[in-house]
Amino acid sequence: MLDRTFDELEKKCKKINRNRYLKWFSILFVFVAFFAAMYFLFFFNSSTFFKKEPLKHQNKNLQQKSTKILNPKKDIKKDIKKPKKILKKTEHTKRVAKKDKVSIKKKDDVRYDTMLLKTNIIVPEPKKLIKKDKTVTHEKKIVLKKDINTKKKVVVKKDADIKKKSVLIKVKSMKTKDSLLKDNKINENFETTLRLSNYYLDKGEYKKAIYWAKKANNYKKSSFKPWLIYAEAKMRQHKKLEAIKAIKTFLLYFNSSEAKKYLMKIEGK
Amino acid sequence: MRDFTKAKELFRDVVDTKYYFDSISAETARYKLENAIEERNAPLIFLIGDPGVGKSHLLRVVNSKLSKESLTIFIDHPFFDNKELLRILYEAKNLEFDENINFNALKDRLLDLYREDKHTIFIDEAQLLKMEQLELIRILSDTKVFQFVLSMHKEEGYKILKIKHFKSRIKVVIEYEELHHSEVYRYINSILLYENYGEIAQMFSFRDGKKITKYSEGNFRTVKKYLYTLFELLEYAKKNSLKKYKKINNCLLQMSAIDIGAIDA
Repeated sequence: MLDRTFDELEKKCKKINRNRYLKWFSILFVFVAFFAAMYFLFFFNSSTFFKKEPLKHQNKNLQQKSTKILNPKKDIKKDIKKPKKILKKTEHTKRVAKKDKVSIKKKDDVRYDTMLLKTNIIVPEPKKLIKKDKTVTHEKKIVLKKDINTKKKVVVKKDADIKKKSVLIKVKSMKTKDSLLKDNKINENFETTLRLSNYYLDKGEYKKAIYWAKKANNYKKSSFKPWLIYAEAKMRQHKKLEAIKAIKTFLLYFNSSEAKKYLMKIEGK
Repeated sequence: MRDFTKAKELFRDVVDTKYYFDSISAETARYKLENAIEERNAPLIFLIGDPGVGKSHLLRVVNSKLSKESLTIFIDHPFFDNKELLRILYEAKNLEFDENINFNALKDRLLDLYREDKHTIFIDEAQLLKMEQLELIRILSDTKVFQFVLSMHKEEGYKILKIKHFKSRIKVVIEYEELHHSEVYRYINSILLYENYGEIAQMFSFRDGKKITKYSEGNFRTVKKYLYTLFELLEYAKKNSLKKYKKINNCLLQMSAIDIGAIDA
């Protein structure tokens, strides 16, 4: 005979099972909560955990810089000035440029300048000194020494004939050969080709000057300038007749007073 | 057909030598006991184990086997008077016992009677014997004429063995251990199949055997009591056509464990 009834035993059995499930659930919950807390404590804050500066100060700095970084274009000068103050604080910082450049600092001081470096502050390029062209001739060197500040170049040529009947060919650009070529590649047009031909004429490379003069003529056939450069190149090569012939053919198509004057000068009239 | 009422009767708490379950612990104890009795080197043999393990059952099995070959005296209850033991020994030889005779004279007479015959005296529940009775047993064993097999509980047995009188004497101590869960499962199957309850035997799985062992702690008596309760519950479920308890499930096993007191609820 059973000590207790069937129903009693059944109820007790269910109660035991319920308590067992609750017990296991609570243990599981405790474990999960523990590991979650560990995760947030160590892994989430691991970046701030090993830093020297407390989080509060970092946040302040971030706030100060973030508001001002929003409009970097307006207040470039001010923003550039600020790193100076920071630089004074640290010993490791070095100045690369005197005025405008922002220095690259060591890892210890990154915390001060990382924001600046990371931001989109446009640091204006320093004023570049005018580089001396390697291809500049002796003539031009002399000129450059005298007229450093001027943008325009004045070319003085040695040849006696050309000195007497010299026509000042003003070269407007100060750019080097490479920059001219680059321009020509990018935007090949009448002006750039004309500049190139003038450049080569000044340099003494008459074949190239003629080549680019012809190219310029293709862009603007009515213009006398390419013809002029062509004739000059021929004259310097002591090919006077070819120069005269070229001007005459131009005059056949176009009635240019400049061309007529130049022809008279060449012919010696 | 699943007749749970008849099947539960197989697991009544009765010592029946008809069913001898050859568990590992039972077989090792039996082997050691039979060897010790045959060799007759040790006049005192102690069979120690927890209550309900199967010591009494083993003694009866060994006694029934030896009684065919030699004289065996089985005392299943402890005697509280010294002369009572002597009286039993006299009656075993079909001799009249005279209480008025001197104790030493009685003892000497017994020695003459039993000196030539091979015999063994089994005493069950020997932990209930007083120190005087134990002392008498010790004296009789010292004559090397009598051989005693004492079955007692583990705790009391080890205490008695620590006593100086028994500590110094030659003796054999046989420890009877609990059942393993595989043995419990095999026991259930063997008993039910022996009595043609194969369908009921198939209801039990190896896992159920493990759980029954866990609740009963491997104790033979508790296993039988547990199975008796379990079949009562199955019988009730069958009568009331409770579908949930058609098969043996965790709930049924827990309920029978609660009833026998294996689980506190």
